[in-house]
Amino acid sequence: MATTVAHHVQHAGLRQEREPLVLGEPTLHDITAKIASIAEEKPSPKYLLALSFTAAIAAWGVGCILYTILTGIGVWGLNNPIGWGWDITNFVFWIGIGHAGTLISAILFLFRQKWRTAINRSAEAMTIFAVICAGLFPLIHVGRIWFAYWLIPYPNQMQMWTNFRSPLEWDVFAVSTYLTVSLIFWFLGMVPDLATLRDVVKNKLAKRLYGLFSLGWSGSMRHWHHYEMAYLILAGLSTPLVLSVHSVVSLDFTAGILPGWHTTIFPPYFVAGAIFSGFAMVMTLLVIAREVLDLKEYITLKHLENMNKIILATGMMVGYAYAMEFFIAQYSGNPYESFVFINRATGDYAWAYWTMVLCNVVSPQVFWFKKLRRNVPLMFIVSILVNIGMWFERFTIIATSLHHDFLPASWGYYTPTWVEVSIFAGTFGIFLTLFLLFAKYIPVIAIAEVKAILPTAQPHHHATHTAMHAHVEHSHGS
Amino acid sequence: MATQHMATQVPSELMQESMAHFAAIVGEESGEQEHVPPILDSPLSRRSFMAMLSAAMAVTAAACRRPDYKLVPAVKNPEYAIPGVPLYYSTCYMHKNVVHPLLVRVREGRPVKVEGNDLHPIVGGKSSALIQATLFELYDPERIRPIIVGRRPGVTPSGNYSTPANAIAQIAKAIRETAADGKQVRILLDEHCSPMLATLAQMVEQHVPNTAVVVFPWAIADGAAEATKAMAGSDGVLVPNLERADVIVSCDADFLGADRNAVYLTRGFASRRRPTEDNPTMSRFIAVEGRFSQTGAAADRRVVVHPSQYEGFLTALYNEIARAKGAATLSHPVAAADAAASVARELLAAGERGCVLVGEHLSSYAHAVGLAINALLGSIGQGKVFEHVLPMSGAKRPAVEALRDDLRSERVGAVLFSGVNPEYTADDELRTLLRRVPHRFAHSLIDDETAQQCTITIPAAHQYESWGDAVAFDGSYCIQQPLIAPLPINALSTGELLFGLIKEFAPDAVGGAEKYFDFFKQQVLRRVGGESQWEQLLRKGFVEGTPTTVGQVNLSALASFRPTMQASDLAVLVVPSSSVYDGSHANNPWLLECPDPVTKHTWENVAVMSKGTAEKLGVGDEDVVTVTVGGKAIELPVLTQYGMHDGVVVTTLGYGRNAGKVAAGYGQNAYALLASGTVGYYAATVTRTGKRSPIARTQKYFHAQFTKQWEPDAPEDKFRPIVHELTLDEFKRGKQPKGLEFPSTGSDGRFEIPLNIVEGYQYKGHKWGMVIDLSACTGCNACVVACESENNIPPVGKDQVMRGRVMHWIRLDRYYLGTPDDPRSVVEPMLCQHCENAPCENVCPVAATVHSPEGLNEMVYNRCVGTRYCLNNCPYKVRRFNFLAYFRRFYEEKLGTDQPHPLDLAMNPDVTVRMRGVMEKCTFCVQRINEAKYHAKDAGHSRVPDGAFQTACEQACPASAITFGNLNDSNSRVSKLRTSQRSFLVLEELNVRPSVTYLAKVRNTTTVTA
Repeated sequence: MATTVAHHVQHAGLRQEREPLVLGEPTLHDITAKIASIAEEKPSPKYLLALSFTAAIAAWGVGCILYTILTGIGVWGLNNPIGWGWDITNFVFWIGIGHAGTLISAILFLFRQKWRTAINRSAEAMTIFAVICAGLFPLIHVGRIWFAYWLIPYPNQMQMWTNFRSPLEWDVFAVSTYLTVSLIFWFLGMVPDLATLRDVVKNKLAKRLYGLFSLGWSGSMRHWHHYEMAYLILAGLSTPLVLSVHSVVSLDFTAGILPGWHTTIFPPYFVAGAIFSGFAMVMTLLVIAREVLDLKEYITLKHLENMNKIILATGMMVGYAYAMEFFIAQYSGNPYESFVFINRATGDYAWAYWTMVLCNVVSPQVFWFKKLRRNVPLMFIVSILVNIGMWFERFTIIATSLHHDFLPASWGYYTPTWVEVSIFAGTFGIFLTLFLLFAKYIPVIAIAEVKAILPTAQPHHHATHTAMHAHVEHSHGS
Repeated sequence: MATQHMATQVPSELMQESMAHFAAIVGEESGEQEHVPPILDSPLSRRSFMAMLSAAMAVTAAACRRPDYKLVPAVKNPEYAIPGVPLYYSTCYMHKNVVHPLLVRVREGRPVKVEGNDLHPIVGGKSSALIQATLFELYDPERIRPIIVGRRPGVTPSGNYSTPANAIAQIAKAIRETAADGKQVRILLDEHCSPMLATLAQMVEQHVPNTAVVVFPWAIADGAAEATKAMAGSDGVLVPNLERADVIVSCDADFLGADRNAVYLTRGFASRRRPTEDNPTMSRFIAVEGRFSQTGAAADRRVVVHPSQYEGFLTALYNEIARAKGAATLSHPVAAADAAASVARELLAAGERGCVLVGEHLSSYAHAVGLAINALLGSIGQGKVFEHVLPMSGAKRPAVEALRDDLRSERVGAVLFSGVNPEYTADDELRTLLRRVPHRFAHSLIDDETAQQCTITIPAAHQYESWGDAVAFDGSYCIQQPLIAPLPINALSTGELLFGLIKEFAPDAVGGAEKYFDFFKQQVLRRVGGESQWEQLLRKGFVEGTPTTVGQVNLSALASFRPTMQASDLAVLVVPSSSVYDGSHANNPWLLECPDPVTKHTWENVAVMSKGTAEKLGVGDEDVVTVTVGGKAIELPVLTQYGMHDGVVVTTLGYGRNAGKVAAGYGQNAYALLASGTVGYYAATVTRTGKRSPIARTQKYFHAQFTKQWEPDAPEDKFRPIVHELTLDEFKRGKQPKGLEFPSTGSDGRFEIPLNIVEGYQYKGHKWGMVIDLSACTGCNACVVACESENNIPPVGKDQVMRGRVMHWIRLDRYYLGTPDDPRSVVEPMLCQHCENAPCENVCPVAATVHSPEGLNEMVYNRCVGTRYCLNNCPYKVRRFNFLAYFRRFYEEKLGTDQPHPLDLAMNPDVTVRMRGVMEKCTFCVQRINEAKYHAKDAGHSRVPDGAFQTACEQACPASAITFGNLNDSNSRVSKLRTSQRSFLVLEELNVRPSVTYLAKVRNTTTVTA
């Protein structure tokens, strides 16, 4: 690596003080060939094995969902004080995971953070898949799923309108808007790359499909012009959604009167937590993708280090929120509220609370040190810990607030059944299956964008033979 | 018309051409070119073909429909029956030897709700959990349907069906043979208070050879009867009128709990427990007990002593009072003398308005001493606390022991069991002896343990299917009239069975009566008079009569009694359960799932003990222990309870059944511990087994503090202000229950400024509200089961109770105040509070729970999607979610079928049966509100008059702790009670503005002095 850096310094002089975003100085053609080859090659046995494994988990989860629908919510562990358990925990968890995608794509795009290019595609894909998994839970958690469509306001012969005062109703709009915009954003950003694949792949069917989805992209100046404009607008549109979706999700709790739910800190706290968990999940996936798909030149340590900084920052934010919640609970003088928080830390679910604190507040502290920030195995472990911690955060908020609330006579306890655990595992199966399919058949790295950040793409770069070669390709490809 | 034209024009050449073409092809292929293809020959024109085709399709479509059911008007309409309009019939239910006069609501010919007869002075329209639950037993799908004949022990009955006449003839034949052998016949009846059964029993003994009728109780408690007989000459138990008592001292008497007279006693007790500003007086109740009973929980002062000290305590109490009254003292050992002295002072101060109640399971010595104390106080006699004797409550043991002797000497050749179950209740010896009797016949509601050992089993008619009578302790004569024809068509009532036997042997003896009813009516008319009186009796349900009054107490008879209780480290109390009683109601899921009033466990019997005892044994809740009494042992899970003496373990009868698919497998048969069927305390050894058995409880946290565990020394501000109690002194001084203090809280503890930023909804017509008096409530569960019956609430089963999914719409929260060593208990009935600012309403995304213009929080089942958000946001957690298909799941699991007939008939047709996946909760009995509104409208009222109807819980409550009415009417009872000094709202500080107001419990801590 030292030689590469030296090489760049030699070539680019002072302009290249920072680490390069792409290592190994690939040509434009190299990039196309590298990314396209993933889609073109026959799936490896290892890939097929992984895919069948995740698909099997997904199928098991779907089976458990069907079992729940056919038998009733009673196959879960929920009971009378505790109306929500793993279902809504998983919902908020997955929605949180889905946040980093939009954040990386849209906000970092608007801030012209070029390091995002290597990871934005997979982050966006992760968003879509996570939101799909998230959306599943509110749907299946209802007692009568066959009437779940009543949550959508539509003109009907019953002359019944939905209740717009309910935060759950706001969720319907927030989540569906988020899914729609994220999906369009992801797809739109992919059009030039799909066109590249269309031009490169040999398989007839694949060519037709890529052709269909590339929407007749020709790479003309006019196309690029419109594309850039639309992408910018969508980025602008998605950015407030990052804030709104998780704020709205948090309102499910804040709008309730339950101590432990009824608190104004939730919207910002949930957004910070969502970014935190989202980045952790992207990190987990990238570290794997980097190894498995051999993308070390594109997803560099610098990318990972930047992400670790964000994880550290957002981890501190949620830590602050935990402390502030405690403080406010005592400072408010509301004994019900102060009981709930003391009970969180000392009660039946104290183990969940302290798991959360250890994972979310303590474990990211290692990222204060540059050496540790750049240690791939360590960041992998921390990213997983953060994901676990953030899951427990939602569980703690939901279950501990519900299980001991106002009247001790109604207090209870909740443990999930194997069905709930299976469904949660199943959503991981769905998520990973979709991600594997994505990684294989869709350009995991935004080819066009990565090319744009290559030194060769800079106006002041010496045109070498490789650059010339790439130039030719650029004109009819991406 | 246009289509017709089109149709007529189409048979064109084109069509014919194609036909021809088709024909040509067919012809070519078949090689028969000369023949015209048959299709053209067909007489069917194209149009008729189309017509037939469409007709066929129409027929096909029409065939796809539900099978037809014909609605045929009754040729002979049942009397007064109008579909959709309920009828109320007066009848009564005999719970052992106590009669409950009833008014039963009948819809379309089927009884759907049991209420107390409001005309009858004993029950005053009130009832109990057990009485409410008897409706289930009427519709129990496990009732025996055919008569089973020729069954051998251990063989499942198959196809041996018979008619009642045939069965009776077979029994008669066996009796004849037995008599011919020179052997005896015994008919075993359960305890009853029916003059008709007594008459029939006499006639049986007179006319049926070698036959005697034995009253064979499930469990025996003879102490009181023996004492009364010896001391006062009255053969039976005294029933106190607690309305007349100023100071009540109970020595382990659970008179508010499992007592057979609990409805009457609760009414009397509660009437003196609700002080008002105008009349700030109440009775004083001192409980002396080793356990923590439902009754003890209501006490103003509890004296905790070991059971072996009860007799000593009573002796000491007697001596104190005797000294004061100048009577002879007793020389038997005394115990807890200090407590006795202080109690005696209060009793003496109360004079004839003081009384001592002794637990029915205690010895005859204890009862005799109690009787003597009451006699010295002057509380026995006309117009006094003790005036009446319970009919047919004389000692039962002599008859049972005589039967045992007869069996031992093998003099008995045939035995008929009616309503008794010795196979389950009797001790080993008696059970073995009874099994050896050659001819055994059973008459039973379900195929119980005893019926399975009999050759002939006749299905018993339920009391709601029978003609019968009963006499109450106030002398009133109550009629039992059938509300429905027996559901098992061959079922016989006990009266019918005895009548049949008598007729078999002495057709002339029954006065020419062809049928039982004729005989019955003859007998009743002889008592009440003519036809018009008969009709009056049926309408009113009873006629007044002369009560049996207690005689003069002879103190010298006291000398014939000796203390019997042995001192022991650990005494186990075995008494009937407050839900399934002695087991005669065991197969009833409404009762099995009814939580124990104190410990809140359901579905089984457990070993209740103090924490200290459990620690000494090295066990905790749900650890299984072996309870051994005299070499006989049962294994029970432990449940620890506050306020108990360390030397007491309590368990209940009625569980551990082997018959009845609902009851079987829950709990253990505690009859095994009894010596010759007598309830009471036994010296026991308890050892741990190392096994665990989960207990299904509906409440697990009983303290009301802002901590997870009960902290004994917590300051007052550490208590959640969700229940309130005042002492009588505090109440007199004007103290009010105080909620949480917030900046907006005024000096009186109530919010001063309206917390809403918009003006609330103006309720113009009715505004329904409820007031619950915690001072009156004893936590007896009558409301819980009444609600279950009225609102079609399904039982969920033990596994679901353990998961915390019990469906009861009203629950009785019990909280302990004071310290764990000396707890005071408050029961707080908790139901939907119908909040004006209901937190459940705004969070429902589909508007399935909404507010009515009359202040009801309404749950729209059809609209409910089942997000459970409302449940989460309910601060009272009174919403109930149908996690599974509870309306049928329980029966599917227990009986292997969908909710089985005839249980569907028990459903209240005015209330929706909820499917799985929807939320439900208390509706304030909206169906009753609407019915009352129709009636008010018919009567020309614009408002429902106050008290014109009652909610199911209010109607059942024997303590009259619940009042329901219109808050917009300033003269209504609720409006007045709401302004009481004792009133408070639970969680008022949340500003949800509940429609249920609670009145703080008042405890009379003032010592009564002369």
